[in-house]
Amino acid sequence: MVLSTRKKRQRFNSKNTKQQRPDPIEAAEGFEAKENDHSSDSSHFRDTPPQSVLLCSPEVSLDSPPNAPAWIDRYSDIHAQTGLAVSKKKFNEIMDWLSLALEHAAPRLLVLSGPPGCGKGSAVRAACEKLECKMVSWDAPLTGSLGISTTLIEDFQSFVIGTRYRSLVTEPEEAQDMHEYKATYSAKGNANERRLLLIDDLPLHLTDLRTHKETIQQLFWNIARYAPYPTILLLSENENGIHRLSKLILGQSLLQSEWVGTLAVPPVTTTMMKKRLQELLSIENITVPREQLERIVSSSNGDIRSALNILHLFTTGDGQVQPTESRTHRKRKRPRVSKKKENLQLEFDRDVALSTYHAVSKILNNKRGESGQSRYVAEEILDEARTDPTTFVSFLHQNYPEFFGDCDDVVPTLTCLSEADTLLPWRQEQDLRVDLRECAASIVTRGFLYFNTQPRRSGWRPIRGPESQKTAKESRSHVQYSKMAFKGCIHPSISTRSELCETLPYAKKIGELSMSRCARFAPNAATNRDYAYSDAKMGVNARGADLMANGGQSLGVSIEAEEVEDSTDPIEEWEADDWQ
Amino acid sequence: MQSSSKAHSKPSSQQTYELPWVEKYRPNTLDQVVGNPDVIDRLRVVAKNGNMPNILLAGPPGCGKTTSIMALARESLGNQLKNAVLELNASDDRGIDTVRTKIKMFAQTKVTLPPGRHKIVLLDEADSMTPAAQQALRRTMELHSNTTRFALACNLSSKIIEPIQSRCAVVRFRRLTDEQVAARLKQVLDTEKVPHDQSGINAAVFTADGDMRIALNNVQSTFNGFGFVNEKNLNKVCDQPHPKVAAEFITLCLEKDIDSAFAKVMFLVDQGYSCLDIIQTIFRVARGMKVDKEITKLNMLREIGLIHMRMADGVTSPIQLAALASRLCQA
Repeated sequence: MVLSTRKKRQRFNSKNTKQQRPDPIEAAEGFEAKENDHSSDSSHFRDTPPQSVLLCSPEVSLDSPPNAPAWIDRYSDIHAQTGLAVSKKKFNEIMDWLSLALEHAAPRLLVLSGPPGCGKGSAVRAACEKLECKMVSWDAPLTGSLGISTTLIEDFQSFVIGTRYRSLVTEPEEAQDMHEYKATYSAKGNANERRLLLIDDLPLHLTDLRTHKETIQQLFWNIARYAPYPTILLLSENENGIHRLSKLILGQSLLQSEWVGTLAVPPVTTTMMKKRLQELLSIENITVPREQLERIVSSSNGDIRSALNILHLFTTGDGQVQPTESRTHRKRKRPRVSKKKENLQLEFDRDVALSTYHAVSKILNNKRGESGQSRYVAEEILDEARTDPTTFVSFLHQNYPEFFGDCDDVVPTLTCLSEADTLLPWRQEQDLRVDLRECAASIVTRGFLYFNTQPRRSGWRPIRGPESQKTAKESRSHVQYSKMAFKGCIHPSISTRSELCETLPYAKKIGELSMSRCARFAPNAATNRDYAYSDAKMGVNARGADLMANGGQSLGVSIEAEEVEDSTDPIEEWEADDWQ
Repeated sequence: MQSSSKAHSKPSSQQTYELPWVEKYRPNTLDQVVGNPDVIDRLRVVAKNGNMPNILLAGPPGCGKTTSIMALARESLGNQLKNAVLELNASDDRGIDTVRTKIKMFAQTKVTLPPGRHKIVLLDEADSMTPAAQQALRRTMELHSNTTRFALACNLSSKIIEPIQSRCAVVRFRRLTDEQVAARLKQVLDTEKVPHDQSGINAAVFTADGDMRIALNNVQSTFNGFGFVNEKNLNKVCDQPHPKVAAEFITLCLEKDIDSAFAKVMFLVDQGYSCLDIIQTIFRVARGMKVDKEITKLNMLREIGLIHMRMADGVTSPIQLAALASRLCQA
């Protein structure tokens, strides 16, 4: 028995070390083995290598500190050691970067981005602990707490300036309030200490970022170039947002410079999350039915923080019914089986989009009963999904083709889809149509359920988010962008449509033409970018210049060309203007 | 009978000041909260044991989000309720500055609480907070989680930025079922000793559509206006085309009796309802109606939708309703 347990444990540990290979079967096996371990020999964590020792570290077994911390806080320490959510590979990458940056004292900046709750912060904290370096971070102060009324950005600015002088990097006022950061914050005195600047909270929100773009970029430029410590900027943004946000904050040129590294952290994998949650539960002395745990994991969408929160809410009271007793018997694990709660998924799932996916796949897979009738009632699914009908219709539209077994079924279904689309409000002023959205969703759903008589069964077909919405959003932002960029350049009588479809392309053409010519005349202007910026100085909107520079031509050229259409040679005139 | 009931009602309506029933009968304890039994069970455990995680309550209006969180606070904090709960709703200023000062100040104040209990910041209607303010909240939530926990209530959780969702356990409230609303209404009416009949309750439940607040308000105004809560009086107050007539209209259409169906819908028009109101009621009835064949129901909804669209775009003439009748007879 003992032998077999050890064997299993070894197997499990060996699996643990090669986590970067997410093989579901293997992982599930390891998972199983671990579960068995529990029942037979629960204190096995004590004598297994590093991770497990840490699991029983004193901070953790301090069961109820004066104010019971939320799970996310209590277990942030554990993540720290094992890199709870982040894969070993990513963690090592962070470690490598950090140790390199610390050793060479090169002033450098790492942009660590990833969706919320993917374990970025914990990974950094863990890396710091391992390398024995202190973290210093900026937190928005109470407005006016210093007696001087400073704006947040000013405060941030002074923080950034302060980082240049080692002695000015001090403990923030609020540190005593912080349970979690206490250890990491006490960065006092010792100038030779290794430190890391962590920027988690930006002084501005995205909307303000645009207006203060230059200040912020300058600040980060300073950090990257002159800060005496390596700096990590945490950006929590989903995949499409990352690039744009970091570009906005840092600016293209800095982002591409040698002082800045970027690293994207993916969402937590299901296997990994399940494993971590199991570990926590075994510490908490609580058993959650396996299928419940799986539901929490799958509904959390790769966000371990939210999974922990849900688990916390879900199991409160289960393990703490008699706190004193459970503390004394901590070593002897006595799992208390929690009452099985039904409908957990419905009440505690996380994201609206997620339940949309469920509902969409339900409708598309269209399981049918014996009589050939659809098993579901359209309105019930819709009520459960609780999504915006417009989104729902676009979801179905995006995903339908792969789910049909018979081409003839597609035709009537598409008729429904198109009718529903007609009903949906597509202009702002159609506010009376808002009531119609429900109707549209009903029609589409019923159409799919009724007409898809032979849904395809085989194969795994992922449900994708609607492209059309993304495209529409992008096009809207492009239109806005160019409107802003060319504000005042285009005559107001020209409609948006002809501005975007005729004037600008024409201007671009002229721009390209002239560019090839001026390159000959102005050899010392190295790149198109420089042209653009020099034009920007002439009072043309800098963002427009940026845009045009990226497009490969100079804004100044095109606009000049516009305005002097009558003149015989616009290019020469422009050159004369600019190269004085 | 009606006259006697009116006489009976006089004393209570003559009182100088009467609380809205919505406030008067707002549950004080979690046990009294109607609906969503699973969620309420969980909150009850949290109230008993303390250590509430940050939670985000999402659900349609009038399903008891604010009520249950206030009840939770009352149960778990007891007489410290006033000091240890900060409630901010959409009517309060909740810009970035408020989040960064008021909430932080509150989080730093010291309140003696039993072990395991925390101060609670209740942000009602959190979806009306600007993304910037939510962003500012993000870090505050984290830094003060040792002493303060947040409860956010909103209608659509998608309006809450991802980082905040990630920091909260999202709890979904569902629309109350008709039975739940009816039961609670009955209870209130009995306590208030309001003369009523079953039809009145049914009508109130239909108009409320799972929103307890609307149900109570409608019933109270019916009572104040007419002194007796029945279907007729309630429909006078709520001024909705009668769903029963709409249901009859649809049934007649399905039986292909166009003359009677047309008469029914013209009856509604003659009562002075706008065509848009009529078709909305028809849709709501049709949506929940049981029809033998799936395809019939689908076609029915399509026709209603198309006519509704025309009306929404401006053509609100009774001719459209006549067209609807004839189309439905064909469906």
